[in-house]
Amino acid sequence: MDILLIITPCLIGALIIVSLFPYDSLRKANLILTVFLGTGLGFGITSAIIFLWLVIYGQPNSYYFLAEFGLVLLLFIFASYRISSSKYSQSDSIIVSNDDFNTVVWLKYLFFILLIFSMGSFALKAFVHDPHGKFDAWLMWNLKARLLFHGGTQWSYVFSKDLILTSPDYPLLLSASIFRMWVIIGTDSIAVPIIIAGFFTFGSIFLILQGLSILRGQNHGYLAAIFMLIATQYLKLGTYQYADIPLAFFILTTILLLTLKEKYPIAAFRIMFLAGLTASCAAWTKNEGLLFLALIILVLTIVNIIIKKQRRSIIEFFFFLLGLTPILSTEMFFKLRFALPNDLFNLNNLSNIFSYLVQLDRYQQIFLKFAKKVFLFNDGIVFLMVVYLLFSGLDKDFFNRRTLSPLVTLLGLLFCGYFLSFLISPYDLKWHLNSALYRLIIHIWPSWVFLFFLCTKGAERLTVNEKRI
Amino acid sequence: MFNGQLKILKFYLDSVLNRFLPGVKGIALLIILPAFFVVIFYFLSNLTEIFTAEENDKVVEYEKKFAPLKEDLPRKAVVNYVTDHTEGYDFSIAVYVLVPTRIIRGLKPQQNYLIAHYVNKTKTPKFEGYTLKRKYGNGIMLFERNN
Repeated sequence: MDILLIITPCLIGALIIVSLFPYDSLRKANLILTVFLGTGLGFGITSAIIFLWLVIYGQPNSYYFLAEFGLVLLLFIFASYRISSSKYSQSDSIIVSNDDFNTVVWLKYLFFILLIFSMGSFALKAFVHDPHGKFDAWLMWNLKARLLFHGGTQWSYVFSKDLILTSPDYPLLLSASIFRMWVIIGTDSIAVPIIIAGFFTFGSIFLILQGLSILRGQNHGYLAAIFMLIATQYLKLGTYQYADIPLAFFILTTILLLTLKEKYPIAAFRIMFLAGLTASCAAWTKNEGLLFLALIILVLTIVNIIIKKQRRSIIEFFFFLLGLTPILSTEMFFKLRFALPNDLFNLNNLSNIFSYLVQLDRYQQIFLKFAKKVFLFNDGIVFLMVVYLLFSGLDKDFFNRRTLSPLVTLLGLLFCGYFLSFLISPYDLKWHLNSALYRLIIHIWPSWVFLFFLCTKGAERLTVNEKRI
Repeated sequence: MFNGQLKILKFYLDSVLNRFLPGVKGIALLIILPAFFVVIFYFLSNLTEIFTAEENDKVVEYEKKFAPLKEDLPRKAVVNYVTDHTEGYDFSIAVYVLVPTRIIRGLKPQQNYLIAHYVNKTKTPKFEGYTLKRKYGNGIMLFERNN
């Protein structure tokens, strides 16, 4: 029954994608992408709407759900119109699975068997071992959802100074999504945050699978998805119900969309609009998402406006900004009206920051910790990637693409941003590094795996016919 | 000579692999084998962890402990909270499990109700201006302010 709660966000997000890609998004091969990307977007959109509803009308009632249903209906009518009109003009057909290779059936079955075991592990840990999640989950995201749900007219207490431990400046995608579902079922069931955590944890894996299937063929997609299942630290963080996993999901979707844009330039404007939406969802999930958003705007400005200087690339950038608008404006409103100042700036002053910046031992301490955490992440899974790369080699077609370097630079800059945030951290540095660094690696992990498999050679054996081709 | 033997071995291993795992090169094993063992081991370790875990999740434990007290607290009221618990998480969990009641740490500013969570004391503590309303066991007590 609880699973039905995901349907409205799924419909809202999926119908937006269907409206943008009326023909391709509904093809069997692309349905997974439409459903998972759509549901993630739907969570972002519905959480923003319910927050605005709280501000304007107070606690959501039947009218709220009527409005949500109205939005679904509107999008459905628009999507239907787009589908019917696109039947006559299929010239811009895009996004079909890469059929260069036959699908290795046992690889597919192996993935699904391992996925069932991983989902079993997730369910055991989440439902039986830590039903409320770990410290940050119940102290920040679930507590905020509870206060919104039980708060009545005094719901804004959630941003009170009394609750400074809960980081009242953090955005609300996760808490508002939980709150929305609790309102629907009428009780603060622990199953809801677990279902959301499960969706984002396994959603990223399905997005990698489908994204690589489109770009590199299904076998490569399955291999990358199986590789994701090895990263038990990632799965574990999912069961902790932390917002880092949804953030990683939205960073991945943005990177994936930017890669697809290069492959299908015909749909660049629509894809950039979607990328804008997903990037703003990242910013609406955690403050680190705001850093990601700032960096992606910087990178796109450099690439699209300064380097390319073409009219088309400027319009692409405009569509990206257009996609940002709905959710980012909600977040700006939240930050200006409700959020307390962030710890990094609230507990710090300029002279403190300057003194931290000139302490060389802080650089050394952070650098060593970063290197240790990256290389020993998930029992040294990075070395497995290195060995795989050494044996398989790079796929030069993809590695040389001009799209890859801005994306790798973006992830690198995000890491540098995290480095800087530790450098000026007002907290005990050792404690801060130990408690936060491994989660920051998780933000980048799915995107990194996606880019890694995108530019390494596939492991499929060519058949005689394929060799001839 | 050596190269020739190596080629034969490679050819043999390749044919064995193709027989058991058709369609992929040997390189795929670098991912498939660890995945197979890690995923199964992770599942089993989670399973055993659940059966052998000595203590419950702290939040679940607190929810059970504080459930009777929660029924007696006025909804959305602000209540003082004092404890002799040395663990930092105690107050945070109490805030979480007692929603919608809002609790503030310490005796000031003084509210109509006071929750005492004393796990190390056997004698009932006394607070100026408050009288004990009810004891709930596990060191949890509710005090009411004197009129």
